[in-house]
Amino acid sequence: MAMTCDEVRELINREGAITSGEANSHVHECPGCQEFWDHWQAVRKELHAMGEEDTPPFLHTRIMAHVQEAAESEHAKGAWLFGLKKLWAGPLLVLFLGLLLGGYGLVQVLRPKAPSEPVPAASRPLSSKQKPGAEAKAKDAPAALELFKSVAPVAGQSREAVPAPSSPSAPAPAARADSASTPPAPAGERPADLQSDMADERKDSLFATPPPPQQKGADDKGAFQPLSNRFEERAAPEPAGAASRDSSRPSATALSRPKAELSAQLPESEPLASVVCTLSPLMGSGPFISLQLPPSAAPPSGGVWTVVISPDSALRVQDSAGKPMDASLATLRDVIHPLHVPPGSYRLKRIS
Amino acid sequence: MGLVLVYPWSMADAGPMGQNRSRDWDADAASVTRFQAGHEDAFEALVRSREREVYRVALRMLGDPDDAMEASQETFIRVYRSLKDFRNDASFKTWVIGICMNVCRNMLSSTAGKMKRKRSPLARENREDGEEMEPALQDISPDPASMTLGSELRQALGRALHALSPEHREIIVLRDIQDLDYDQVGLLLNCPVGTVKSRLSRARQALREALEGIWP
Repeated sequence: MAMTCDEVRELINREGAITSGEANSHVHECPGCQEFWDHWQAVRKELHAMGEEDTPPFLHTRIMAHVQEAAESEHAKGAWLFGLKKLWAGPLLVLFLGLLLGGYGLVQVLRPKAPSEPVPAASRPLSSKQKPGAEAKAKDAPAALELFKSVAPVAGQSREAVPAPSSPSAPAPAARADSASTPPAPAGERPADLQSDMADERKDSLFATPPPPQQKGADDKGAFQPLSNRFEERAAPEPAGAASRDSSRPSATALSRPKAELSAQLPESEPLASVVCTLSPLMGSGPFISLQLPPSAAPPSGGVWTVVISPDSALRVQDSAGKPMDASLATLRDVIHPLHVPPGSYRLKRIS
Repeated sequence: MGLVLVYPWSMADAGPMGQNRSRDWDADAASVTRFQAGHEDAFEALVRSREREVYRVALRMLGDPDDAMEASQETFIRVYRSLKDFRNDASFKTWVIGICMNVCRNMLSSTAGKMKRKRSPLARENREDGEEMEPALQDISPDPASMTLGSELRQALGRALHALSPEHREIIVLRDIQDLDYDQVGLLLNCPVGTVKSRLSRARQALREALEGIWP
């Protein structure tokens, strides 16, 4: 025997069959290897039989049901993905439209109104008295109107002496009447007092309640005043004689908006003798203010004057030819000063 | 289920497989062609053609009829999803069994601990603590008529198969139970024929050791 038993069994393990005559001869002559071969054949037969076992009933049905389910979900997923791709267009379109509308709205807010657009302040609803304080704060025009009315009649008069507005549409905060008993502060304390009064003014117009005692100290530290307002205060220092106008300061909130539109109205004693003018910066950005002025203090129809406000709040008015319009200076000062317009050169244009 | 499906036959040309073409191959190829042409009803013919083989492979790999059913369903779902990319120059049967093997491997690896406890018949039968024993693997044979004289060997074979490592088990399932030739087994296991034979020899030796007392 040329092959050993191990070699023959290794061959059977490896090939699963007797593939050589030498191995065949060995198996026929070796009882142990013959038994090994017989058993392997029995095992192999059983293994083959395992491959022919019956399958459970409904195998096909169950497989097909699951495949069908998977196919449906696959199609749904595909449809969903397709829909998702289409849906990308939706948000993009909405985003685009939103940006478009937002940009348009922003332009509308920031754009100086056309000369024919400003609505006379008298025709606007003056609702700061009727509405809650927060809403009144949002309405710049009524606030400016209120301030104007409170000071315009008598320039240089202290706040305490200012009579309450007689117009039913103008706000008449109760807090103002309360604060009227406060004696005027000395001129040396003016800057801090001015800020405090400004805060008081806001509080008055917003909540119509007297400020708490500690608020004054807080205001001295600038805690309740926006930084931009304080900057404006520094940029436009009050002259020594400004004590008489402290009560006429407009809402600092209104002035903190560089493009805010402020409307002022003359006292109702001469409502029919007023014209609408706009005060806008000659260059760059700045407040765009709508004013109602007596015709004598306004440019001729269609005319434009130049108003120069110096840092010390001095006012110079020239017509288009450069001629000083000193006759209108006092009235314009009374109207413009309470609005705390930042120093600079402005164009005063008569609209109506 | 983190294993990557590798279909080695996708790299094989028709040369080695061409000689194994048969009427079944042609019928499968026709159904595949129809399916790829958009006739989804052709898929049912493919399922009907290979579902039994797939189930048996899964049953022998996993050892549990429920798991085998689940693996069969998953196999044909994967077949459905991939059939559009199947190259018809290979054997559909081999391809499907390869997918089934991958599914079984994934199930074995994902639930290795659970299945090991559940289906270690030799370990279970060697227990002497008197606890209630789980159903032995011979129960997976659904045909009571097959419980003849040869059933003792079949039962022992079932237990021995599941005592093997998955690598040894799968090569015996492919070659000795499914009767695939060495080329097909090599394609499925992504190894040359020589490696298939040596691995098969070690697997049969391990099976013989597991059948100690029955196979000398």
